[in-house]
Amino acid sequence: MTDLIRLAWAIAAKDLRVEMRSRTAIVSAVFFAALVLAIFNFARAPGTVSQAMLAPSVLWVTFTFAAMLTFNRAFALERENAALDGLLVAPIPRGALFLGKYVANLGFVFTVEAVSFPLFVLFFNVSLGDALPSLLLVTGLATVGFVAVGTVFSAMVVRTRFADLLLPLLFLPFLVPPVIGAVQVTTRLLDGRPLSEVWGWLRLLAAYDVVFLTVCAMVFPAILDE
Amino acid sequence: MQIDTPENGGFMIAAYVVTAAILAGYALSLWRRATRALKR
Amino acid sequence: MTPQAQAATATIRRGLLLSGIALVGVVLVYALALFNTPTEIRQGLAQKIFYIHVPAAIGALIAFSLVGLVSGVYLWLRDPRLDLFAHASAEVGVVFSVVMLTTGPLWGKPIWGTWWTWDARLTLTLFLFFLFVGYLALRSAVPEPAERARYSAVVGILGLFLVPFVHLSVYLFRTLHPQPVLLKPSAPSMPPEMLRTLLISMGVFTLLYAGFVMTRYGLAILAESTGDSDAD
Repeated sequence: MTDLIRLAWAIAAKDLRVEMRSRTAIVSAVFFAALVLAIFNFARAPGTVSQAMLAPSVLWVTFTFAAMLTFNRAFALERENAALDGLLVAPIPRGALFLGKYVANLGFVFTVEAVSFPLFVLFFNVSLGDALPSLLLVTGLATVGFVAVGTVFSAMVVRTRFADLLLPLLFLPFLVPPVIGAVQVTTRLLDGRPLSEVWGWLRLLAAYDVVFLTVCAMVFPAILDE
Repeated sequence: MQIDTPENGGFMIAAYVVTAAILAGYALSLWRRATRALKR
Repeated sequence: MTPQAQAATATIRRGLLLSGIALVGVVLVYALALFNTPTEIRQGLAQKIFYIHVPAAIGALIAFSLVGLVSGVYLWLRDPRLDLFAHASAEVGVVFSVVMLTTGPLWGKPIWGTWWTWDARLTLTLFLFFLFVGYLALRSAVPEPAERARYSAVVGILGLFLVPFVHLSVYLFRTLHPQPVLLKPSAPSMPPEMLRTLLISMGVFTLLYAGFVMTRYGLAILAESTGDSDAD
C-alpha cells in the first residue's frame, strides 16, 4: 500500500516536474481560461443579463474547458518517444500509474482554477463576502470527480486517431452532474446563502467523486493492457 | 362537460412517417451490408 | 468457408428474417393505433405518438443498459463476441434513440406547447444519445480490435454509472426551479384498448431490436472471421 502511494507520487512528481520546466500546458491553459472569461463577458446582451447572474455558469464553463485542455497533455507527453512503453514495462502496478496520473492532473486543474478564479472575481465584479471557504470546498468536490474520468479518457483517446475530437465528445456528458451541481451551489453561495441550503447538491457531488474515483481506478488497467 | 379535442393529427402523421423512415432506413442499410458481405 | 463464417451467415439470415417480421409488425401496430384504438379526448390524435415513442424509448434504454452490462462482463471474460454484441446493441440503441428524440418533440409541441423541455428524463436520454454517438465514434477511431474492445468497454461501463447521476442532478435542478408545463400528461388509468396497443407495440419493438442486433452481430462476426474490417 505504501509502495503504491510512493510509486504513484513518483509518477505525479515526474509529470509536475516536467511541466514546471516547460510550463507550456499550464501557461496556455491559464491564458485560455482568461480568454474564455473575457469572451463570456461580451457573449451576452448588455443590460438584459447582469454579470452577477451569469457569473457562476461562466466560472464553471471556464474551469471545465480549461481542464479539458490539460487532460490531453497528460498522455500526449508519454506517447512522444514511446515513454509510455517505458512506463508500462517498468514494475509499476497499474493502480499506481492511475493514481500518479490522476494526482498530476488534479494538480494541473487546481492550478488553473487557482489562477483563473481571481481573474473571474476581477472581471465579473464578484463580491465574495464570506463565501470563499465554501466556494473552495465546492470547487474541490466538483473537480475531484471529473478529473478521474478525464484521466481515464485521456489515456484512451491519446492512442486513437482523433484524440482532440474524441475527448470532448466522450467527456462532456460526464461533466453534466458536476457542472450542474457546482453552478447551483456557486450561485447560492454568491447570493450569500448558507452552505446548509445546498446540502443535497454537496452530497450528490461527493457521491459522484466516490463512485467515479473507484470505477475509474478499477477500469484504468484495462486501457493499458497489451 | 364539453371537451374540445384538439386538431393535431398532423403531428401524429409526421411522427409516424419519421419513425417509418428511420427504421426502414436502418433496415435497408443492414440489408445492403449483408448482401455485400454474403456475396464474398 | 470456415464453420465460424457459416454460423455468422446463418445468424445474419435469421436476423434479417426477424427484422422483416418485426417491420411488418410495425405496420400492424400503425394500423392498430390508427384504426382500432380510441382517440384520447383531451390530447387528440397526437396522443397516438405515444405508441411508438414509448416502445422506442424503452428499447433504447434496454440497448444502452445491455452495452454497459456486457462491457463489464467483457473486461472480466475478454470474449470478443461480447464486444461485438455491445457494438451491435449500441448501434441499434442509437437508431432507437433517434426515433425517441424525434417523436418526443412532435408529441411535446401540441401537448406541452413546447418542442423541448429540460426535464430529467429528456435530458438523460439526450446525453445518453450523445454518449453512445461518442462510443461509436471512438470505435471507428481505434483500428486494433482488442484495443477497441477494451476502450469501448470502459466507456460502456462508465456510461452505466453516469445514468443515475445525470438523472438525479437534473431532477434536483428541476425541483428547485419548477418550470410551468402547459399541460401535465396525467394518465392515471388507461383504457384497455390503449394498453393493448402499447403492449403489442412494445413486443414488436423488442422483436425489432432482436432482429437488428442479430443481423448487426452476425455481420461483425462474419467480418472478423474473414479478416475483413470493411463490413464492420
